[in-house]
Amino acid sequence: MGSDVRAALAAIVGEANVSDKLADRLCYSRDCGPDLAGIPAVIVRPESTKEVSAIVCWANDAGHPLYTRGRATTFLGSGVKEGVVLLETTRMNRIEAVDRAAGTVTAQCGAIWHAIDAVLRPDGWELAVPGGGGLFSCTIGGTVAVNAIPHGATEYGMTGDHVIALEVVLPTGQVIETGSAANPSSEAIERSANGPDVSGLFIGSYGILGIITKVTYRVRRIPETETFGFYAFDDYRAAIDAANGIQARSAATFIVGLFGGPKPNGETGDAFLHVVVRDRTVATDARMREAEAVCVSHGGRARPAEGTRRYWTEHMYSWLRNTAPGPYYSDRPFFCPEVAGFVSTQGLKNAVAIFREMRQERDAEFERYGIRVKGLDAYFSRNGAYLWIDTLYDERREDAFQYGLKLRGEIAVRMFTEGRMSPGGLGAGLAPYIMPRLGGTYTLLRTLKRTMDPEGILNPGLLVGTEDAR
Amino acid sequence: MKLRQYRDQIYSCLRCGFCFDHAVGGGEKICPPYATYGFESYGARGKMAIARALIDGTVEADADMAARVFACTECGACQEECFKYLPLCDIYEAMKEDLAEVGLAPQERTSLLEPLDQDGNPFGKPAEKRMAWVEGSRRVGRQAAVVFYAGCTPSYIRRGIARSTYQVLEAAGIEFALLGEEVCCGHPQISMGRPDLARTQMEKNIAQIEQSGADTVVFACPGCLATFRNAVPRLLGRSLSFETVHVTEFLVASPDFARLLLQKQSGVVTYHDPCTLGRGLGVFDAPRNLVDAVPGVRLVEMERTRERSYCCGNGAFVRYDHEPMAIETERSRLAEAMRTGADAVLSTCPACQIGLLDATRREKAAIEVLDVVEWIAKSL
Repeated sequence: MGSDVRAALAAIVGEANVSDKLADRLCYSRDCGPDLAGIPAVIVRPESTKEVSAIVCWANDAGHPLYTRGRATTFLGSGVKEGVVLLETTRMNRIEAVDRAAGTVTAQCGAIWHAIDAVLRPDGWELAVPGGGGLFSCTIGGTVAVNAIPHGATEYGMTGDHVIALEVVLPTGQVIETGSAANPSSEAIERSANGPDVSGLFIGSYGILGIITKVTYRVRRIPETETFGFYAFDDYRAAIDAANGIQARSAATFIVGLFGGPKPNGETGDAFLHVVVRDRTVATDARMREAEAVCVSHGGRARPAEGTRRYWTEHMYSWLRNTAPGPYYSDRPFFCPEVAGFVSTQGLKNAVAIFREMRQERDAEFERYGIRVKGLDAYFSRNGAYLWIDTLYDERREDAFQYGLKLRGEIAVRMFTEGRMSPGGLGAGLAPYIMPRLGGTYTLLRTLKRTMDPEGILNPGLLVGTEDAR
Repeated sequence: MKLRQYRDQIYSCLRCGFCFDHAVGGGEKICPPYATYGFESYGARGKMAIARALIDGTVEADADMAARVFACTECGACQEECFKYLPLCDIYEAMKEDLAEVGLAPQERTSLLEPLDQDGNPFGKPAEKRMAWVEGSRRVGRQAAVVFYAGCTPSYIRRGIARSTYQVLEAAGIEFALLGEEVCCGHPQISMGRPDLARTQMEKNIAQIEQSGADTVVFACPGCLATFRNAVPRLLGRSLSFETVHVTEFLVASPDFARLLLQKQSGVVTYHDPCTLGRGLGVFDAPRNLVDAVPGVRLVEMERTRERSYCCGNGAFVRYDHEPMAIETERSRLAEAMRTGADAVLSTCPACQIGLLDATRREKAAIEVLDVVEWIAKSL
């Protein structure tokens, strides 16, 4: 890519916000996951929707594909191709409005999840879900674009559930607003307005249909109190039944189940449930008592819940296993080719059994390649479970890396068929294992991509496959 | 390649991005180069990507990479936030050594090393003027249980800090000595990727301290203290025969100082935690306790404080080749100090003082900038 590309982009965003230096380009390849990606040719950092639109128009004219990136905190593969233009959104970090009357916050796409929460918190508000997947350095635009699975999913639902309106730059460069905000005489107060749910088209779309440049998101009053419970079970099926019972009673804000991986420090048992309840003080106590009664009725043993509390307040996964982050995370060169997805709560029994069986079948291979199971953990949603199958490989070993990716594929195939699992996050890592199975839905998605992005400009090859890329 | 010893740690970087801002604390950017230039390569995650490419041999080091590594102010905020507890500052030091070895250290800064051999300081000032801040020579080169090692910046540039430390120690009745031929601690050489050039000076200082019979060496400059405490034993391969303390720690622990009757002062002050003394050496309480020892003064904290304090922008001599970054960072920190409504911003590091004073002049800000020992000296 020549210096004319750099100059054209510099004319839009200014010299200081474009780079074709290798030192800069190197840093915009991989995300937090194992998938290798290409090194972009140019990095461009716009500050406004107008600049994003101008960049997209330029890309159409010049025929250069664009890849969009926020903080790249997903684990599923950025899909960046070698030699492309990478549009990085973190300069677009203004928190534009907090509308307490409407219960919304509007922020540019590159605003960091916790920066938004930090603005809300002093007045007693918080974003409607805690940040995507627990990596709170994520941007709001990226989190919505991948529809990340949040903490608190049992009561609060998914990231996308709380989007009120989006501003999107379409692949043609045109800027649109969704929901009630689509009407220029109206405001961003309701997603279910003006016909079809256009926001839904972009939530979880990985930016293939448009670049989300602004998000209006629901906020909530910070609940009065939080309380925590932790329960050990001798049979994982009993733990799942207990979680299902808690779901049926809407007793918990969040339930996390541990069905594999290392046991929590100092605990014995086959499976464990962490339970978080947030509400008004009087309701919190009643709901936690109800959750505890359900766990005990299924043979659960109440255990000290300090790890649960610290997990919820510090957002460090190590606390799910009663372990401080230092010894748990420190300089371990292991990466996680995760497979994760939704199953029904009762269907979780089948999915857990399948992975346990796979684990046993591959005992010798796990030994040979030094593969570890970090977790077989489920975030329980309102009516199902989001199961994370987290294996770890040693980043220093090429054979372990290759085996880790192969294993991910094998797990994905089993889970997306026999395990009856549907992934939430896809990325470049999991999309090839699920998209072709979606039949008419995949056809529709390809048709949408071709129609909306005829030049194949935005994130080509991600989700819908390279056959639609230019 | 020095970097290779950190291969496991570099491979461990999760790329979570916690090193860019206080991910859990509120999203403010924590890294001055990243906050200034915006490209990831200036932040820790980017530098780990560069480090990985270098040890994997997929790229060759170039001047752009060096500019990014040497833009680091060594504030350690990224290390404080690191999800994987990586020794990021040690990794940067190794990168600097490797880059310096192939001639990629920034010329603007390495020129500071030239006068060190002859003058014993990085400013090109004559060695014989080093002790010009002190009147008389009765404490110079004598035997004493305590040595005050003034350091280059307090000796030549911010002499008020050296003088005040001297005055406060004397007022407290501490028997202390100054070194007869004090030379630079070696911090500039390490910071510019040339620790090999620091050994001679380190040996010279240590020989004089040992000759004085001191069991304690007091420092007014956190950079010198960190160099003595951490780098000297590592580079010389032996432990020190004396204790090293910052003057604020020394005074707070001193019964002689506790007996001093300090004069009342009025007003509100705020305290800027120098990165090296705070995050680097874990000294947060002693300076605050000293401020509290002065009657009539109210200490108010800035938004970012203690472990999450923001850099002044002047660490690691970055001003010589990243002046706009230093100016923007010190302006940002001064603005934070001004928002407290304090009459004075106190610090405990001569480099921070230089930066904050510079910002004060530039912004025409009505706030006094003092070192904590200067503040204490006003109460004698």
